[in-house]
Amino acid sequence: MKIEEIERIIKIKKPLLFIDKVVELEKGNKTTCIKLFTYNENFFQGHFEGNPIVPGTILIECMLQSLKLAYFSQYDFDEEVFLLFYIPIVTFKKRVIPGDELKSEVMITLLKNELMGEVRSFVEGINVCSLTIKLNKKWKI
Amino acid sequence: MENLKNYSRVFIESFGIDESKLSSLKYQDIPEWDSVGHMGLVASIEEAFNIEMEIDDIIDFSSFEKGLEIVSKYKISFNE
Amino acid sequence: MNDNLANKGLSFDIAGIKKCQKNRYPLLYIDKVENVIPGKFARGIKCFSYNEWFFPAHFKKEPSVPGFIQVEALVQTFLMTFLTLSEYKGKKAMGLSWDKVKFKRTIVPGECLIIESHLVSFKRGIAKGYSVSFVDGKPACSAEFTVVIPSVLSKFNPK
Repeated sequence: MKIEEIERIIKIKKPLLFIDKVVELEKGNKTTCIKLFTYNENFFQGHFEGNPIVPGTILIECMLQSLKLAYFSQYDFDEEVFLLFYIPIVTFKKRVIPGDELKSEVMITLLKNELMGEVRSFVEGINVCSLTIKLNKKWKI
Repeated sequence: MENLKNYSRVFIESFGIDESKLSSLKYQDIPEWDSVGHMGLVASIEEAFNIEMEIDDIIDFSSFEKGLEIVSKYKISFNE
Repeated sequence: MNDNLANKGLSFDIAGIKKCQKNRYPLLYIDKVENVIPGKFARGIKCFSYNEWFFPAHFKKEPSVPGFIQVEALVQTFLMTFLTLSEYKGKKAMGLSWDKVKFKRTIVPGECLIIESHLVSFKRGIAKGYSVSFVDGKPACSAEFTVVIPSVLSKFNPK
């Protein structure tokens, strides 16, 4: 899948787009996405000088964008999309640094009309972060 | 036996590890038992046995087996 | 950094904030911190201006603050509840987990986020607490945090 296609589906562009490659996609259900981290990204400069580490919030945004890709790839909206959601749990297990390739695996289930997402991220096979999320969709058509 | 079961359960729940791997388990043997995992384990052990461990004991707590010795000092019996 | 009257707590400008925590531009998401009771409470303020790097991309027609930036502001205010203690100033802190992250409204350029952070427990280098935030008095984002100070944790490491 090309970057333009990813941008079209989740309505997010550089410098906020945190997906580089889509390895697997089952529209509406699951996806595996890759983001490579390079020192040449703006957030490393401030986090931290001399000891660059990917901020937790950027990791989460990365994982959430993979989730959005999985979900919105089944639709065809032209308008920009707002999503309000509730995240019961996020756990950070290991730090991610420049040069790491983050692989995010997304599973979406519909439970009693509520969207639940599970996202787990790995670097070289080791689980670095996981989150569970409840989505409330709100979009303009 | 109850105490030993509870002790083992803390390890299994803290690290998501199989019971068969417990007896030989040492600090840093698995990614989950790093410095952060260590503090989580100590907090869970303290809660399970209603004890508060001294700093030296927390530092000495370097394996599943060693931990049994240390927790016994707090008047917790692991014998039948 | 001013020392206000005891019952108003401490205040920190950007220079003061930078002495306590290691986040820097472009990842420093609080402008001012007030009413700080070190070891207990902090009130942070983050003003959002269109002139920030993320607005043009989020989104072109209707800019709003991305969720992860809101959470970053909440975490950074939370850090000020314990990194303002003299023995912890400037120490590196790492996020361990977030719980119950809720987003209640969109935030747009021109709005100011007021964040109130509470430190619930801080033992052996592990800080637990929560932040709630408001725009014009109405609830915005809230979350619970567990943050660790690795240099303190390492004192408890088995040898």
